[in-house]
Amino acid sequence: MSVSLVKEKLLAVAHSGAYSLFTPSETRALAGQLDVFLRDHSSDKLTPLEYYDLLELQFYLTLISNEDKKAKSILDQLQDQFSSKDSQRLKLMKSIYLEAIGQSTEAIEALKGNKDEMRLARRMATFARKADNNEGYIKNLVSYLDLQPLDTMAWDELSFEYSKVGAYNKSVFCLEEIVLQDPLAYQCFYKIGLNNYYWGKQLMEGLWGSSSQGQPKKEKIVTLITVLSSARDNWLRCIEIFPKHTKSWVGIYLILNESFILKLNKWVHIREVEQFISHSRQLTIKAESTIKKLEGISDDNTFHELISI
Amino acid sequence: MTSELLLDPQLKYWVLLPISVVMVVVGLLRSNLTYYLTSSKKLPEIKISRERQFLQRAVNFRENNRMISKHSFDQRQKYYLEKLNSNEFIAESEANNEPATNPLADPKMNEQMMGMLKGNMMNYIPQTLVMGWINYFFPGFVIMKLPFTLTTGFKQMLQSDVMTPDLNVRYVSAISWYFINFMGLKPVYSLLVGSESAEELMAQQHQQQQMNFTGPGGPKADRLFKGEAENIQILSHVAVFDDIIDRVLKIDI
Repeated sequence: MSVSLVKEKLLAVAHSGAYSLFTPSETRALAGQLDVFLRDHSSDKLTPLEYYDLLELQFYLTLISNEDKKAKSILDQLQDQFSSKDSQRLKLMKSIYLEAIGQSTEAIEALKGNKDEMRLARRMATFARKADNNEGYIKNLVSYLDLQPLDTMAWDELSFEYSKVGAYNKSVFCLEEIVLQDPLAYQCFYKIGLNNYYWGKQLMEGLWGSSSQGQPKKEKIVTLITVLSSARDNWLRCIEIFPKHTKSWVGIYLILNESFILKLNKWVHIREVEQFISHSRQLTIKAESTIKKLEGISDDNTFHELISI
Repeated sequence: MTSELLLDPQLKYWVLLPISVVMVVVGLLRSNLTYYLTSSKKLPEIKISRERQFLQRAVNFRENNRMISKHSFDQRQKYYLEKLNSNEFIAESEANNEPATNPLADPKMNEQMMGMLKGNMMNYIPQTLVMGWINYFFPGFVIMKLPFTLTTGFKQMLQSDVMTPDLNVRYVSAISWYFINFMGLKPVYSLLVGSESAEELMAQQHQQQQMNFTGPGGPKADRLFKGEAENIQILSHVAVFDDIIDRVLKIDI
């Protein structure tokens, strides 16, 4: 790979934050490549801005790799250069470093100072993220999003937290905020579909589960069908944007083959129910053939095994 | 009728090149001085940031509401109408009760006005000086002949300050050379300081400064909120999900 391509790749990784999703081996390879690049080309191929961007990337990679001393040395280098600028980025790095070495209180202190520094406010909100503190974390995220409603990452995080506690309707609301900002975010349409599906399952449990009593009322059936239609439609929208999204095709197949569909036959006189099942046959066939094609499956047994996973 | 002029080759060294060099150097100096004179960008206050983001969120809803279901649309439309018509998200709600103030006399705008003034000064002073220098030392100078022909439409552009109506349009006057440099030095700056800085430098030169709505003389937030509320009130919802089954069934993978 040419030097300029390596540089472009490293800068793209640094700016997108994609390294946070890398596997350990990918992180290791990237860190090695970055070290070599900075050693050989920092003076001739990089502008000062690009150099410090890559240095920041190196800082995070060393922290991920548990090389605390090296991270500290990079942090010191950046602080020497920019300490007079009162930079949010630098405060954030310092806080992350302190948290990484186990000094959580100092990490929080490092973020305090100026209430207008919203990047730090977001970081501060995440300090409440603990396994036993879902409620507190949600409260923090809601407060933060009241101040910064255009932060899609925070909406996604809040959606995930609501989903964890089974508040699927709220989770859907958060994800819809993202698609209102970015109408082509097909992954979000998929997630909306998934959360609606779980919500539908929750409603089904109430209607036909062990705790249910007698026949469900019409309004409840309509609510259930609205939620499930929404799941199906959002998956379809995801497919419309990205036709090879296998998970959405599987979702459509599953939702139209749920055992409760048979139970709906007695409610077919309700307009919503009739609409929901009217296209189910065609969609099921399409979903099945597409999944087989995308996954390279030829026989029905393998297909059903895949679906049951 | 056109006439040929014999140009002294020394004009190249004593007029053409000095003007070009001075223009480049002044451009670079101005860029550096502007950097030092410009006060560092302040973060927007938390309340103002909240106000702007909420308004943008409402705009996003107005523009992309097709992406959500009818139920979600109704829920949000009600919410936005309520919030946009209240003062909950407005940073400075007391301003509603004040009479309209002259933005130039508003003490809060002093810093912003000072920044704009510095920017303008750094733009006009060097230009005036360079232009004065050219007008004083090289008035009416014809300094070069272009190696290609041009239509007479370029005469005004290339022969400012030369009072000879019949002169061939290929001859360029000193002051016209200044203007050509003023408009077209971007490639030179790109070569010297990199393309991004060159863009910035040319923007400074041409005063392409953008003003946001909270700048001096901009509309008040409450009016923007009311306007957005009216836009949202008259929205009619057509979801992207209508007929989506038929559309997806037609997709061939």
